[in-house]
Amino acid sequence: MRGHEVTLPERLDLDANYSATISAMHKVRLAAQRQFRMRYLNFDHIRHISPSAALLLASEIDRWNDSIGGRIRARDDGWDPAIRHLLCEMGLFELLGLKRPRETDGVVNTTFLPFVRGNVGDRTQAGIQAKQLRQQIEAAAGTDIKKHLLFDGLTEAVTNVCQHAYRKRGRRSKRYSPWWMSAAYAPTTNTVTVTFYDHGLTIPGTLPASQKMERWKHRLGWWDDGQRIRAAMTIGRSSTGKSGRGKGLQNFLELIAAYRESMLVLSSRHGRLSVRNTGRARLEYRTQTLENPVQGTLIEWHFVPKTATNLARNAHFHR
Amino acid sequence: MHISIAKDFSDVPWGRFPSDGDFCGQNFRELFLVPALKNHDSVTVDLDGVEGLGSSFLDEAFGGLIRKGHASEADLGAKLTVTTSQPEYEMYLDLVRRYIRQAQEEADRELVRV
Repeated sequence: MRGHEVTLPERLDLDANYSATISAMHKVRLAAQRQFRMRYLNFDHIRHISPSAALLLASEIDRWNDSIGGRIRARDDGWDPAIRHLLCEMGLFELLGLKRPRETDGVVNTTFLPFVRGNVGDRTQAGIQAKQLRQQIEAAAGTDIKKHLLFDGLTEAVTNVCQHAYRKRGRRSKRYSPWWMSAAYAPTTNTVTVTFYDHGLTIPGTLPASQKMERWKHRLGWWDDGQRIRAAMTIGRSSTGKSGRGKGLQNFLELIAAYRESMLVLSSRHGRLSVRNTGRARLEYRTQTLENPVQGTLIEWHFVPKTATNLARNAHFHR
Repeated sequence: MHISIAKDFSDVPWGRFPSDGDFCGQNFRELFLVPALKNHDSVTVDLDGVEGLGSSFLDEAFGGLIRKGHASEADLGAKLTVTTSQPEYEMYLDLVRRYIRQAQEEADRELVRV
């Protein structure tokens, strides 16, 4: 950071360049939390941006705008044309207060759909927004997708945010409890990516150790965030401890179980859980520990629409 | 008594409580299911036409009938039919049955404890 200028890295991508990407996001978040004005957000060096990194960036700018009460400053004259095209499609120009170009000439191999913002307390909007996002995905991909499974995954993500992600402490946290979602389609690989993000307390931060072995591991520091996320996927586990709760995260798996080539990635605090469907009988689970935390919870679904199957209903039993 | 969730309530139902959204499971239960079960011997809930039905909605709407003391699993077995003509939505029929059964098991366990 030079002065209060944040320079975004060449590859803004949580898979290919995690540390630099998350570090840039932290700087923008810090600026919002400490209420200082950034001179500029510098996009000039970006040559590649992934859909999930783009949503993280949009969320941090959105938060900064809300926190500071004005727009973050950016110039678009030095941007890579393809990045200009993608971020314009996504709705970032409006967030940055930049004039939307009449035409963008960048050659891109991905379509970014406009991101959607929601806030706990909107009450009626999330279902409509999830339906609209699905319609936009189908228009971009030129094919139908399993709409009910996408709807269930997205609305359960919103429900989790409403019930667990933000503690009702103080007036401000009640007012600003946001979440964001977006989608992208890559025609060359025929892959749809749907991303959901919140800035809340995270899954590992709210899930209690409920079994004896977990409590021991927790005390010894051996129960890492990846394992906590995986535990949260277990049927019936919930941070509330109330009966009937803790079923929502299962809905994230249903969409993945319905496509032979697909993956769910759930990143929360220092943990990451990847669930891959390769067409075999069982889904493949992998947990990781992230050195630098994701500040909130990021859910990514990647799937190839033409590999749809009818296995979704058995997703619960593939674990 | 026939209730279409999509036509009578919302084609985009989601969430558990009114604090999540107006078209949540609790509102569907209290505004539609409870009065229908009270006043009619047979109630059919039609799932066709909805965008989807998340677990929180289904559990609160149907499992909540037992948790809130409106009915038992046996009552619902005698009076309530959940139906769809969309093959992909048959998974929801299984889930409704499962959430009702789980809620009854929890209620039975509570009774033993008391």
